[in-house]
Parts: sequence; structure tokens; C-alpha cells
Amino acid sequence: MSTTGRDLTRRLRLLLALGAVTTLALFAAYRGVHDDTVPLASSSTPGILAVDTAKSALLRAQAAVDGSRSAGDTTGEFHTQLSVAHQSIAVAASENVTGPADRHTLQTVTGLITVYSAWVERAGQETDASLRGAYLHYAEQGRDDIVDRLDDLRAEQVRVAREQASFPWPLWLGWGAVLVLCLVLCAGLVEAQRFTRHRFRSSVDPPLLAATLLCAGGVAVLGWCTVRAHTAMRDSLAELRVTRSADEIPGAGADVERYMADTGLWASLSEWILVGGALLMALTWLGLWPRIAEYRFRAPR
Amino acid sequence: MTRPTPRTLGIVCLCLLVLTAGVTAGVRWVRGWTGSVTVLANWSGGEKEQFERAMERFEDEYRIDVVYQGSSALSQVLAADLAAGTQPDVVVLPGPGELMAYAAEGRLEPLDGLFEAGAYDRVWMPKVVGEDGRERTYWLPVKTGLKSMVWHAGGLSADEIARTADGPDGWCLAMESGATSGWPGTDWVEDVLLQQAGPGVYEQWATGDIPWTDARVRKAWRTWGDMVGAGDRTRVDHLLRDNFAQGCPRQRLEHQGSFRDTRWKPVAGDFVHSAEVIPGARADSGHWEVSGDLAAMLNATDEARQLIRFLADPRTGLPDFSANKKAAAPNGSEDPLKRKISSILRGSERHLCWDASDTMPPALRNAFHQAVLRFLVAPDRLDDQLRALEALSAEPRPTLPVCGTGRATP
Repeated sequence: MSTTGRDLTRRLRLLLALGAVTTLALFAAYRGVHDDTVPLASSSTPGILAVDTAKSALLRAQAAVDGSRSAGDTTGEFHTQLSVAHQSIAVAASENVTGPADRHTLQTVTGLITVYSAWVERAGQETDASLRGAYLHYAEQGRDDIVDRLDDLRAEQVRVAREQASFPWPLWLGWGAVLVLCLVLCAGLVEAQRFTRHRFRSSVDPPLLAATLLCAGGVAVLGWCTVRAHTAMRDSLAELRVTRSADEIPGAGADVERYMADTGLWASLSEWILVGGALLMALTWLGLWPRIAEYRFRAPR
Repeated sequence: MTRPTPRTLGIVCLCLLVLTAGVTAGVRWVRGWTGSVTVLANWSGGEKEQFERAMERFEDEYRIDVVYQGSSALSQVLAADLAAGTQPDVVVLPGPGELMAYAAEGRLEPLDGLFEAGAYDRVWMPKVVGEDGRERTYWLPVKTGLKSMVWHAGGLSADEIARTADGPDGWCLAMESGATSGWPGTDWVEDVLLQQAGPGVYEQWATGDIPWTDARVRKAWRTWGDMVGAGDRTRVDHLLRDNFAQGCPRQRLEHQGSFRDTRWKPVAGDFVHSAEVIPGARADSGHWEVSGDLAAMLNATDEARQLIRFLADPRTGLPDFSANKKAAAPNGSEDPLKRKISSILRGSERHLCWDASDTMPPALRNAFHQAVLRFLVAPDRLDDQLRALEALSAEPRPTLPVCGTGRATP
């Protein structure tokens, strides 16, 4: 009695199960990396750079005050820099990189800037040298407090960005599993191809060949996208690790934008993994089912 | 295709059940940690560490995340937050002045029913009229402090203390404190008035019934100015810039609150009542100025209510000293200073009077801070300062009992 029908059925079931598992593993592993690219590019980076801008503006405001100790700032530079600081803090708050603690810190910093500005203005209006000196001293203490808080906040934001750009062991495990599953699936498809060629003396089974190419090519392309995305995130993080001065901030922002330019497109490919998986399984079914059907109604003699 | 057997179906159902239970438990666990409460306060150093330890216990027990921010610019931060509608859930303010104004504006959520009000003396937790005209409890004292204290290195006789106090060189004084720079001076002026004129005049002045230009108030300023050397440029330049929390040499005296016990304890320091060194203090003066950190609720979330209940629990280890009469008093053998301070704060027979500036509206209080700084530089222009303060004080404001006798809330 021929066992070809049963062998084919077993192969089809195994390949379909393997296809489903590979698709899900690939989907999870891919999302594990690419889900963090968009927040890193659109939230963490502008949030961190906004904090850098605020800090830089405060230091410039203080420089304007220091440059005009006795006369008071007549250039308007102090108020301009405070406006920059306020706007940057508003941007940082809207990015909400580290959650409620982030917003709470920035609200406090906003209040402290108000106090700092009040001391500086009082000093500017004061005619008594002792009081003017004391007010400027209070302002400097306040500014130091603000800068310390911004530094702490930045460190927390960079920690979040580092987590986003990291490739922890679950991802190594996931991608390792994807590679093994992909190899096993491709090997299974090739074996099924050889089995049908041997049993049915046909040259090639086109759907099975297409499924093999789809599996190998799809994993290769998505793996390449993942390596590129991870490299882009690592490069972006390197840009963000160092606190930037006002002159360097636009350049750092542009660099990160350039690194992360394609990450949105790469991230959007994750939806197609499920479609590709379904297609792969459909091709597998198309490749083997007609052969199985030939044996389906043959009763044993 | 064959039908699945009942046994297979049973196993599948069991798997689904376990999966559903696991997912439900997981979601509940995750959601348990999603609750958070934002807290704005002004604690630093050891107090902040003690508060953070208590908050860690709260987080572990109730699985509610506490987002804490501390700042000396508490008033400014809170005012900005309220104006923007992004106020913290709970705020801890040093004194009832601002809270009274916020309660009258309907910004505070009542705390009635969240804890046992009878565990607190009325002076710490009076009923306050809210926006709707009804009297309610709007704050919870989470920490109290004793003032009217003069710290010294210990083992000094009354004569030695009096000799040290008799001259500006005998005093440690520092005005810098961020947004509230000047408050150590306001404490001085208030205390001198309390000890010289008594609690009646003190309360009338604090509530605006006696003008700033009153002779007794002016005398208090002058007395303080003479004690610390107001107008001495070299001295004043330093004390304006020095931070209030800096160390004080052991051969000097320091007029500061009970929070300084950690500074004086290592040198076996002790304190006397300020009336013993203030010139012109009433013979029967036994009144103590006190302060309190008061927790109020700005957003009536479940998490905020839970935190208020936790803070009111006498078993919660909060920074010293608790106003909750059911909380354990400090152990006298381990820390006699703490025991002494605690017994004064809880003593029902002594008069306790709020730090007057803490009961004033923020604008007046800030102007008081500024006036102190100006007075130190130019004491001869005191009358101008007092007239300016009186102009601010003339505006109508809600008031509350400034001095109490330690009676329990009925």
C-alpha cells in the first residue's frame, strides 16, 4: 500500500504549523525592535534636545546678567533667553518622555524660572549694592537648582532612550529563534520539493519554490531592516548622550533625523509580515494539496 | 475528518480557562501599578529621606506610584500649576495662609471623613470656610515644628547664654533660602513681638487687626535689629548671602526651629526659650511659635484619598514631629531633645501660636521676607517698610485662629 498521501499530508501539516510559528516569531521579534524606533525619533530625541535647549538658554540668560552686573540687562537678551527656556520646557513637557514624573519636574522648573527671573529683575531695579549682590546671589542659587533638575531629568530621558535603543536578551532569543525556524522551514520546503519531484517525476513545484524564496528572502530583508534600524538607534543615542550647547543642538537634531529617516517605513513593514506569512502558508498549501488530492479518494485494495 | 473527543474538548477548555485567568491576573497586576499620585512639597535632606521611606511603604502596600517634587519655590510652582489646570494631586504647604485662600476659592477638596479629626488639636486642623460657605477640614498636619527656640552648645548657664546673646557677634544668622530668602528674619521679628507683646497682640497683628505701623510691632523690629546688628554693612553682606542651613559655630547661639536638632545634637546642643534672651520679653511669656507642614488635596482621586489616609495613620513614620496624638512620642532615653520638643508641641497647657507669616496671604508674606532683607541693610528706613506692608495688609482676607491652647477638635 502506498504511503505517499499520508506522507504528503504530514508534510503539509508540519509546514503549515512551522510557517505559522515562524511568522509569529518574526512578527514579535521585528516589532520588538521597530516599535521603539518611532518613539525614539519622534519623542525622546526632541524631548532631550528641548531640555538641552532650556539649559543652554538659562546659561545664556545668566551670562547676559553677568555681563551687565551694575547697569542691568539693557539688551533684552535675558528675557529673550528666558522665553527660549520656557518654550523649550513646553516642548519637553509635550514630548512626555518619562511619563508623569517628567511633567511634574518641568512644571516645577517653570516655577523656579519664574523665581529666578524675579530675583534678577529685583537686582536690576535695586540701587543698594548689598541688596543687589544678595539678589543676584539668590538668582544664581536658583539657576543652579534649575540646572541640576534639568540634568537629572535629562539623565532619566537618556535612560529611556537607551532602553529604546537597546537589544536585550529576549530580542537576541527572538531573532535566534526566527533564524532557526526560518532555516528549518526552508529545509522543510526544500525537502517537500524533493519528495514531490521524486514521487511524481515532475521538474519543480512552483508554489513550493515561491514559498521557499518568500521565506528566505523575507527574513533576509526584514533582518537587514532590523540591523539598519538598530544601527540608526545606536547612532542616535550616541548623539544624545552628550549634553549639547545651543550651537550644537540643531546639528545633533539634524543628525538624528538623518539616521532615523527610514525607520518609520521599516516599522510599517511589520504589518506585512502577517500578510507574508499567510501568503507563505497559502503557497505551501497550493504546492502540496493538489498532490494529496490525487490520493484522497483512493481506497485501499 | 473525525470529531474531537470529549476528553480533547475538556483539555482545550481547561487550557483556555487557565489562559484567561492568567491574562486577567496579569492585567489586574499591571493595572494595579498604573495608579499614581503626584505630590508637591518642600522637604529636603533628612526630612525628605524620611518622607521617601514612608512613600516607599505606601507604594508597596497600595501599589500606587508616588511622583514627588520638592522645591523652595512651592508657592510659585503651585500657583502656576493651578492656573494651568495641572495641579498636583496632593500638596504639602508650610502653614495655613495659602491653603485658606485656596479653600475660599474652592481649589481644595474637603478631607472630612478620610481620617479621625479628633486625633489632632484644633490649632493644627481648624474647620475652614470653603467656597460654598460651609466649614470643612481642608488640610492634614503631617509634620509640625517648634520655633521660639534658641540653640546653644549645651551645658551653658543662663548667664552665659545671656552674655552670648548680648551682641550681634554671639548670633548665627543667615537669610538665603531660595525663593523664600528672608524667612529666618521674619521668624525673628514675629518671635520678638510674641515674647514682648504677648499672644493677644501677636494674633491681632497676624490677622490684620493691628497695623504694621503699631508701636509694638515697630519695637519688635528695632529690638531684633539691635540684637543682630542691622545696618552693619560688613556683617549684613555676609548674612544676606549665607544659607540658613549652614553650620553654626558652637560658641554662638542660633534662633532657629526644631528642624535644627540634627545640627546641634552632635555637639550635645540644647535650647532655651527665646524669651530668656529677647530684651523686653514679658515675664510670664511661655508662648511658643510653631510651624506645620499641611497636606491638602487638590484632585480628589482615589489614589490621593488613599495617600491622605496613609499620612493620617499614626503608624506611618513621617518626619518629626507628628501632631497626631495617637502617634508614638519620641523615645526620651534615645533622644532627649526630640522628647523635649515633642512634649512642648503636645503640651496642652502651653500656648502655641502659628508662625504668623505662614498664616498670611502669599503676597504679604513675600513682602515681609523682602522687608526683612531691606531692614537689615537700612534699618533707618523701617517706617517706609512698615507702611508698605500695611498697605498690603489692608486688603480683606480670610483669617483663622493663630494661637491655640491645644484643645482637641470636638
